[in-house]
Amino acid sequence: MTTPAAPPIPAVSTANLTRVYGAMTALDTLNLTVNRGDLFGFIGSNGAGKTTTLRILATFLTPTTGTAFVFGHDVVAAPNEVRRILGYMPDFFGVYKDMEVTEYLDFFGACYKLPAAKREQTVKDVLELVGLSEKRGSLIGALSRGMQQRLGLARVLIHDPQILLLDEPASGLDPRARIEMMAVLQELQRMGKTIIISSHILSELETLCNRVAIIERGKLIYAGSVQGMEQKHGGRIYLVKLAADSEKAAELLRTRKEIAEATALDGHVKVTLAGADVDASLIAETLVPAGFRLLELREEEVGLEEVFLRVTKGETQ
Amino acid sequence: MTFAPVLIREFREEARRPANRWVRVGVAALLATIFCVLISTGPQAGRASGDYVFPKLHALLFGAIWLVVPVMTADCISRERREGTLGLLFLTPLTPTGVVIGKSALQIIRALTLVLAAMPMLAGCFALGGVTWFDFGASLLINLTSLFLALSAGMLASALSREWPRALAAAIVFSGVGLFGLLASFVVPVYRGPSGALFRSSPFGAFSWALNYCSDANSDWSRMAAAATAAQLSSAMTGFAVRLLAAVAIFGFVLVVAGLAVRHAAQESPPSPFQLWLRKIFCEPLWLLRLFRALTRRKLDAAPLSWLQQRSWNARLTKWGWCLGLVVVETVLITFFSLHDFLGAQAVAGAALLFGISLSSAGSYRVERQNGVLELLLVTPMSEGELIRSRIWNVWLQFLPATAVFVFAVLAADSVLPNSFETAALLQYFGIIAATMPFVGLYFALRTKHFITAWVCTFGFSFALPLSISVVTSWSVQGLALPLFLSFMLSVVLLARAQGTLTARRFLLHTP
Repeated sequence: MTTPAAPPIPAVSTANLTRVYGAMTALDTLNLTVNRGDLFGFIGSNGAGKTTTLRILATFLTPTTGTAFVFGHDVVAAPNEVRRILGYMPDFFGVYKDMEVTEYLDFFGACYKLPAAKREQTVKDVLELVGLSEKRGSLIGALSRGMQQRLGLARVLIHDPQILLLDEPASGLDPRARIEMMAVLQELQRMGKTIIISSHILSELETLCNRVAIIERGKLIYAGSVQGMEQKHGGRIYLVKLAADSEKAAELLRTRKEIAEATALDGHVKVTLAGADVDASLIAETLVPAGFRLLELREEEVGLEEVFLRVTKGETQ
Repeated sequence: MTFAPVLIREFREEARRPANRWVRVGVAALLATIFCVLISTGPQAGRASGDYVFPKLHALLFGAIWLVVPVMTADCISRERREGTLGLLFLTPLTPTGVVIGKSALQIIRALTLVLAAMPMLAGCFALGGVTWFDFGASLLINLTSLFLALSAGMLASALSREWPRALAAAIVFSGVGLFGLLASFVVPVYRGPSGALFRSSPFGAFSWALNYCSDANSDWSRMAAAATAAQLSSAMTGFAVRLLAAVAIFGFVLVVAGLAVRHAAQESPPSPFQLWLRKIFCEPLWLLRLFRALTRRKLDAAPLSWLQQRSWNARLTKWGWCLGLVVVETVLITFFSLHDFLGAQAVAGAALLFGISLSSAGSYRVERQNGVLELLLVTPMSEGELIRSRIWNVWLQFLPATAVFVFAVLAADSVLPNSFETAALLQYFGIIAATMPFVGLYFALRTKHFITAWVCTFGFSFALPLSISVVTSWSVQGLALPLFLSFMLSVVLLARAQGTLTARRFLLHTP
């Protein structure tokens, strides 16, 4: 008889993770699991608890209560093991402006105790990966914001970590630099790295991440796939184009309990169905017998931003 | 010219700093303690000892003004440049001179609190007897003159610098120039007069006399008040007042120059080709480049944090600059002074070295806290203990060459003029303080927001406190045991607390 294989250890798992600062609870019993190889989006308003979570996972902060494991290592009991396999990029640069690019990476390589013989090649490789090879001899102070951000990413990669924690890596970047940064992250995911990325730019997370979590006031609101989230919280929205009287049509639609919301907009009516079991034909069945002429009926795509606005209340701490 | 918004903002910021209150209370308490100690240990304890206490208090205040005021003022404008707020101020109707005046007004008030804190004690000397109005007037005028010159040094350094270590170094150099100018104003009239033969034969002796006269170290004013006629006293007082007016004029001139420098600094520009050329010629290694690189690479492999702290030419300049400076001073002393004075001057050299160590210790990991690198270092496999050990080791290493010169000079002087007590006391005191100061400095550097507060606490706890205890317990080899033991214990406690601060991340984080 063969014993069933043990489930793989998740990249990150937290249980009832709580962090209190004085009277403020920054993290409130957070239970989160990130699988190996995930590109995981961590979403929340300012002050929601994203940075606190990342700092705890990076072993920079200790939780008040609860536990957090990174690849099976407890962040409190075995911080050194965690630090060796984890790369943390905070939401600031953390650079010496009077240092050269290679010097900076060489220094952090030495801090991670990489042997000197290996370090030179590693520095070259990570600079190539983030597209900074041409700037290797430049002073950091002379680099643009986008380049400094990429240098931060190169620093994170210097010790070849299995998991990357990136706090707002694309903030303040111009569109081109942002697209390039996202491409680098996708390349890293292809290389098998697990990436947790906190960001406000939800449209990018939507296409980039395979799983997301939404956090508000330190509490986890949702964790799962992007599609699952849109199905669960998105509802279905239809745009109805009418020949006339869109205001009256919206009024009529609102009388149906299967319709959550109906709003008239420039000759259109935006209709949100209340449940997954309700069919779009209900709209036609309601409007046509009442004498309205339907010119067009189409489903509108619900994005992550729309879902985020629906599930969060915009509360900050 | 508008400067009120800057002044109001500066006042508000000052009022919000809780450390300020404690520093003021601490300074007043320290002065009161010294006052009581001096009364109780004076030659005529309890009666008519005002003439014994007054000169010592004045000397203390005089020294404190030259030491503390430039350091306190050095970062007032340079901080705005570093934080990028200076340019924003000039988008408003404020003028550079207005900004400088607004900033300087607060610095004047801060500096005056030093004088005000000492006033009750100085006035108390009247009650004890033996102090004349001439003593009091001379002390007030000399201290105010010093205060304006020291403020000028700090403001000018701050306007010309961006980084605080550079501002601090410039402030110390400028204040040295200011003190030299003040002393010269006393030396020159005598030097040119009929009784200037002695000064002409020994210019250093002349400046030593001027320093003693300004600090009233030999109670010259009391003797003068007793022996001189009213006209002579009036003439001397007029001389002091003229020097004060000159100091105020210099301060005004410095404000104008600082305004111009600030106007220029607001438009940040990259270094010119000439500056780059100078840097290449004087700050970068030209010969044995391969050997230099191999050595630095080896250091990086063995101790990355040591490499970090010694990588810049600034750090190397500081290390060897102290050594070279001390060699020059010792050479000058041995050439122009008697051997007895040479040995006596070693206490001043040791104090200067400790002053340098205190500055370096109080600046521990300050840059790393500001730019966020400390946070990044704490998520590498390096432990908090490694960070602490590395920093302390580096402060010691930085001052090792200068310390070797100092110890050699003391021992050399002792071999010619044996004075086992002075030598033993000096070396014991210097050794323990130099060894423990980096621990104290590191703790305060991590726990305080501003460098000045960290430095004042470091210098106060590791240098002034043991010295005060030594004075109380009388200056003897046995008397040194208690303060030095306390210094050692304090450093052990603060080392543990520094470790706790880093582990619990209780240090103030940078503001992005």
